[in-house]
Amino acid sequence: MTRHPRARLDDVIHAPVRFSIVAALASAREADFRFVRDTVEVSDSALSKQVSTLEKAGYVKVRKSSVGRRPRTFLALTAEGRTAFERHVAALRDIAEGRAVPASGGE
Amino acid sequence: MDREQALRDLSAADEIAGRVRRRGTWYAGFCAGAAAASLAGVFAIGMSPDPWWTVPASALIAAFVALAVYGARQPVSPRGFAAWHTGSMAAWGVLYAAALGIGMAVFPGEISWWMPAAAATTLPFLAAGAAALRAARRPA
Repeated sequence: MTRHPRARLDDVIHAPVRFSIVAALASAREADFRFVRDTVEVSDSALSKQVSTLEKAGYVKVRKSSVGRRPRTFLALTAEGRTAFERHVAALRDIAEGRAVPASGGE
Repeated sequence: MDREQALRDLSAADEIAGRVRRRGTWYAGFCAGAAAASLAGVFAIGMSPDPWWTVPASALIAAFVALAVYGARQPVSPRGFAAWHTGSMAAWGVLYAAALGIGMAVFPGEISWWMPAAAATTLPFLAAGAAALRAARRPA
């Protein structure tokens, strides 16, 4: 029996805001917290909460720095997070292309 | 998760990735600035009589410090940044040392050495800038 590609979707990344955060970080070495907040269009607290979940999963690392007197927080995907995102996107592509859909036709 | 939702997610991811990559193109500007500073600085150092070469040498250091501050203020480090930056700075260091070491000992004040030598020191930055622009145009 063929498994539907949705079985390969990552539960941590699957949530919409976390998916957007990881998609943003996947295209950068690291990105400023405020830039990610504006790109994903969420509040500081919502981003902090989702980043904390991603950090606990081992997908995101947080680096605190400062330029002059201004404290800054940078976010980056870990190698594990990058691999998980690539797998998640591959599963989405398979679903979009209708690959390995069971005879019942899916959901 | 159905096909339409998967397509929406993929499209959203592409759109976000494009925005992040475009924000990372500042590094190409950084490299263009570093190349221009190196071209002018190395040429002026070589063509200036002792002790006046210290003026363009100080200006070159100031330009690099300004570029470093500009870089530190950017919100996105593009993917590949560490390799491009480390590689270009290391190659520039070698070329800069060779240009000044050989030029000051053998070709002081000779434009036929200092112009091509100054141009050669721009190559690592131009290569790194081109790599940054190429990476910004292709998907992650």
